[in-house]
Amino acid sequence: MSVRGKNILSISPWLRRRAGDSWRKRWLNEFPSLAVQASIEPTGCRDYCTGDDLARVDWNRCARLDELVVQQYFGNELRSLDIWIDHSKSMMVGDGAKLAWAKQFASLLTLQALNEGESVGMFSVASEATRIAPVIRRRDDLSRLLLRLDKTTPANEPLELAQAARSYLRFRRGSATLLVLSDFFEPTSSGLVQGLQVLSAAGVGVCLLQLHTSDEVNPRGAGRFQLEEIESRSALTTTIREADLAAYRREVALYLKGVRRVCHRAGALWARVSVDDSFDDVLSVLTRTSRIGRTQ
Amino acid sequence: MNWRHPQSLAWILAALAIFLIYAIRSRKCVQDTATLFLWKRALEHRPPWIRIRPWVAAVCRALIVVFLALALAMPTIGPTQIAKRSFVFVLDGTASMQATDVTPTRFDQARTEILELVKNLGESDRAALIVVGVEPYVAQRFTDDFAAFNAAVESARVCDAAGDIRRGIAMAKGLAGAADASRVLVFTDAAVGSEGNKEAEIRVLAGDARNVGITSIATRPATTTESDRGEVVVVLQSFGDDGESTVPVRWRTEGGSSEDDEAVLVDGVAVVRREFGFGSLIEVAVVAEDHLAIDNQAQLALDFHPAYFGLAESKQIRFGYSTSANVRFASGVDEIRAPDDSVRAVSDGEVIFGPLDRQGAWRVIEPNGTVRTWHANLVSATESNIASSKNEAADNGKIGIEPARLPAKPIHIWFLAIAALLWAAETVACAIGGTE
Repeated sequence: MSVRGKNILSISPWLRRRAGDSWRKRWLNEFPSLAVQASIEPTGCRDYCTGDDLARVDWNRCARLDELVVQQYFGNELRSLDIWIDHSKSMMVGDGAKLAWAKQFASLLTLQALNEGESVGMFSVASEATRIAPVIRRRDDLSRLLLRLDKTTPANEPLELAQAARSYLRFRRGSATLLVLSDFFEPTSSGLVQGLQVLSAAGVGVCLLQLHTSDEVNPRGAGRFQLEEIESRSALTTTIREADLAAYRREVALYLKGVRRVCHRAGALWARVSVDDSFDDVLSVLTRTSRIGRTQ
Repeated sequence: MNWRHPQSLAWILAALAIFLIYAIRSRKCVQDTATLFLWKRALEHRPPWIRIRPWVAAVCRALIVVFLALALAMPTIGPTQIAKRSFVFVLDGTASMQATDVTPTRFDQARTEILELVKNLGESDRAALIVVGVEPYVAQRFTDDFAAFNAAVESARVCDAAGDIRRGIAMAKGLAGAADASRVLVFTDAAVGSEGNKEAEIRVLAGDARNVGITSIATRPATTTESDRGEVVVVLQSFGDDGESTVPVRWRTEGGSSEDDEAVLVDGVAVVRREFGFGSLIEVAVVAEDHLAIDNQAQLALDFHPAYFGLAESKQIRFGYSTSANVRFASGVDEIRAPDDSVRAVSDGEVIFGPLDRQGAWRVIEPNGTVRTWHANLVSATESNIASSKNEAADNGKIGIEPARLPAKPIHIWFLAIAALLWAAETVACAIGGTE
């Protein structure tokens, strides 16, 4: 199921429906850094969300406010999620499908996080991390966040993960979990390694979703091409044969394997996602990844 | 290069179409990518010629069609028009050219060869003819009317006298010097030699010649007691390697019977003599078969001056003979007319010497108006030609003239061969490079 080219706001109802019940069961509860076990010490109230335990409903406050509210306990109120959206030019490959997919998936996660009472911070990342909108804690603020997210444009600079990590640490709130949505296509892995080291040293739990289009990992169609690097505009004009396509696929597989190895060494979770994958599938992948991450 | 079916060249458009289709089809597709570094890694181990292989194959395919179209058009090379040329033919018309060691005669063979060569001359060529008799003369000036030239060759006649071929060659060089790109072609049996004649191409017409000829004939008073008789002395000489040891000789007088004699050659030379009465017209002939007949016979009028022989003054005497290409007449001759009726000598009782320049019947007109025909056909200058030409015959070669327009030569097979080679090259290129 592709969401390429659609406006985020126009599909947000769909996102809400699809996100619905599956959040807690299929991902959040399985993700150790996000699903922090709450204590019994109440710290406040919040709006009731579907799936909330009815035992936690603060009936007295409901009576006063005439709406459903649930009590928050220590642990729950500190949960926050920061999302990085890589908006470097490489995300525009394939008519911007990767960036569009990242925006939509970030919207989905934001909605679910808000439902869980978490605060969400969203950053556009290229050579440094820039906050897209102030941290939101209520669903009423979601539309404002989505508007700003929709206006996020591609940057004319490559992804500098280490530099972005340093700039991000200035905005960091407590023990927020960081989800990075990027393609991570770099000639060398040094930027990725350094960035993960900076984040790891700061105690940030990181989950990387490596986005790619199907043409990037499994190109089809031989012929004469002029391949242009979208960021540096350096070009390679060549005739590509089936044998060359096979060699390229092998190189891509090796590269992805290398990125995964780097992430695991840095204690980060890593998953590879195609923009053609459905969000449900991605959530399943994330679940599997989190399990793998916990066992390692 | 000419084309027999030029309309087939239109197939070249098909080749152009093939190439254009390939160029359009293979027009590069610009594609943005974030993984250029991965592409470079994947392609870096690829053979470098892989990049040009598709274009090599496309060019091969187009060229195959081009060469097939060229072959269908049936290309030919030539005929090639050669630049303007001038030729001076020198035809030896001296007596020795009558030798039959070359069939039918040396002179006829020379004329035949000249006529054959003239067939190769083109519209822009021109030719001149010099015939060398006793004196060389221009039989045909430079002309591009080869019918007239051929007629001049046909009408050329060999003389019964000796001549100097070198003078003819010198005249030809002078004639050729005024024309560009000219050649002097000499047809002779004389031993001219190449030295001094580098500009001339010599065709020596001579075979294995054999000849015994009369080189001298003379008269003197008879050694016998009869005072009204004279003695005729004839010198014979053998030319060639296989001279006869004995040569049969036949004497014949005007109106009388013939008598046979035999000359014994010693070192190739023999002398025979016989007495005759005054007033006789005597003819002596070598009966032996040889390759040159004209020096086998001599005539002599034995009418002697009485004072010379101590006879009566009233007896009108005249005598004449010809030898070594000279004619000599004694008194009693009023004038001598050549075969063309021109007056060549007038005598007033003196002895006349003069060269004979043409074969034919010379007329000797006596003072009383009597006309006597004199066949001056005794030639003694043949010995050098007969003998020396035998030596040069070994390294003699024919003279050639390149045709003015070379015949057209079809070359379409070469185009087919090239197309086949291109097809093979294209097949190999595709097989090695793999599919796209």
